[in-house]
Amino acid sequence: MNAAALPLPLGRRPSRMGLLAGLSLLAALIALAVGAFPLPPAALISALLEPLGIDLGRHAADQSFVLWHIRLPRVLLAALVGGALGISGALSQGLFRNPLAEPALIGVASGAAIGAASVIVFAGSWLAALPAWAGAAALPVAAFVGGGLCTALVHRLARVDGRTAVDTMLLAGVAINALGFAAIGLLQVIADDEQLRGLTFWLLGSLGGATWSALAVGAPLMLLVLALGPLLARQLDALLLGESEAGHLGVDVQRLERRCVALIALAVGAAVALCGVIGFVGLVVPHIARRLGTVSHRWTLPASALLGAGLLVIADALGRTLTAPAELPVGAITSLAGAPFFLVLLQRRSARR
Amino acid sequence: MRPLLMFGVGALLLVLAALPALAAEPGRIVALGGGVTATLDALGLGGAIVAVDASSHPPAKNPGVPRVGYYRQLSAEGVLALRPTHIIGPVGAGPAAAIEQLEASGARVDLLPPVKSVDGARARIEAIGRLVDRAAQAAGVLEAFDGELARAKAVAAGSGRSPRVLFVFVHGGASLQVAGRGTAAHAMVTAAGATLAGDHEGYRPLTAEGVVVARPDVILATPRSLAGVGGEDALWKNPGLAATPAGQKKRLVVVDDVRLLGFGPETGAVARELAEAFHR
Repeated sequence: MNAAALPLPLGRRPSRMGLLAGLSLLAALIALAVGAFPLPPAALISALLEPLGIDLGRHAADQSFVLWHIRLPRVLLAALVGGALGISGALSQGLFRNPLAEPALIGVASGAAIGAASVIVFAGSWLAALPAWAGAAALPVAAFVGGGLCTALVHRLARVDGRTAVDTMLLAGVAINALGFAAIGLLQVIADDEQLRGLTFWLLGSLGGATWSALAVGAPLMLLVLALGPLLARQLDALLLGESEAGHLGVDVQRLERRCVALIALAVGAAVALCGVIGFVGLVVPHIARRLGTVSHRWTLPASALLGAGLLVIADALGRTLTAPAELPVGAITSLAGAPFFLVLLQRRSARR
Repeated sequence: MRPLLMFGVGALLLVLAALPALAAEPGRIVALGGGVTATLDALGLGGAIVAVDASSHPPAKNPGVPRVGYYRQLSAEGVLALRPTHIIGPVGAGPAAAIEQLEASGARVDLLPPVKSVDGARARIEAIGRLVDRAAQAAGVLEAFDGELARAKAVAAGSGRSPRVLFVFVHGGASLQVAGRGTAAHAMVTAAGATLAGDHEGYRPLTAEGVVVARPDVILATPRSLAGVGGEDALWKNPGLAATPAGQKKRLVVVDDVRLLGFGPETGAVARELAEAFHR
């Protein structure tokens, strides 16, 4: 009864969400089925069922190894990182009330990039002195900490008279990002040939580091954001009307802003620490989500998470297969596909006006 | 009957004892790094190489061999799809997760320390010979290697001079760089009995004034770097180079980068070629 009275897009929202979830799951299954190593569908199903005690006997041991130790953690990491970047994008655009905002604007990406680039360029000598596990952890930890520190800096710079001004934060973010990329430019000048290539690849992003242990570290952080993010939907919807209007509706704007920044920093920090910089997902995905449904955050937050997950899983599957046995950095694919897509979106939007 | 049986058993034991001495099956090898690939090829294992990285020249016998990309950004699944039994490359091959996954798959992974000197090249040829059970072939390669190095020395001693050589290189599409102390080029120029013109550490961008001060007698470059500046004529148009002894006599030596800087089995021969070119 109630649903019929609402405008059509809202009334059909639950089924659309289901469709989106189904499509993302389908994308994950396709991504599991493709790759450099031959793994036909029968072998895939057989290997997937093996741990459940169902032995179809249609797969070889090496196929099971590739599925369980390489492809599955990788598809899961792609889905988690895509989801985290997607929801962070929707949170950023909601927080800044600006469709051109992206998670990087709070400084987290450039801070993480400085942390990682410093480890790549400076740490070669003293990392060797550390035990292997600590050496391997240095880069993601530095990226995560760098992202957190830079976010805190942007947040601090935007504080005026004890209040955080969101528009000041946006400008501070732009300035800090410019500063961050200048710092990376300087590091590139100091770097030797191999460090330079390491840096270039890191800045293009890759899901090649996907292992169960990487997932064990990153998944809880990203799942936390995916679970808590949608809870802010109603308050972000109120914020769409303006800061003071949201305040009149009973939203503690300062607290909402702190929570958004914390969630974005957590999600993007974890994603960048594990996979490097993956561009355009956070910017483009919320736009697609809004076009598929409504502008309400009750739709865009979960829908951006699902869309981000599905798209990054597909982008990574392309990266793994297009140039096999080598692979293309996934960040190059998302930016390559994302930028023209974004332009088409803009064209169609202005044509409708 | 009994002596015959004992003779038979004895013969069988002898054959069994000799088996490990026969070269083991080389298996399916993924070779990473130009020096490692060239060494395996020189040890007669070019046919066993099922993939190389982006920095290697494919083995002569196997020119269409698949490429697994940059050795620090390997795709574990891509490499495993080639069903390798043995992966040989430099320390630093990665990412770490991919190396872990390759080892866990049951393939043998041997990562060798990076080589930046002629002695290091010798040691690596020996090490690879042991790794792939081709120690005898490695000894043969090293004998030729040492012979070439001795000829390089003789050429240099015969001329009685030590010409100043400036090595220019294009790093990853950036501007032209000049090699200094501690670079692979430094080791090769020294092995050829010449002096590296460049008194800094590592690589530095080429500046007109810096080149004049360096006073090179010869310019050494790779084909790719030369193409990067637009060919030999464009190189001599560089305002600094034109004012040097090398620029006035247009003395340019061009050597392929994997041969020149890869520290593989050809390093000895390259040193001799360089010595002949520098001391002409």
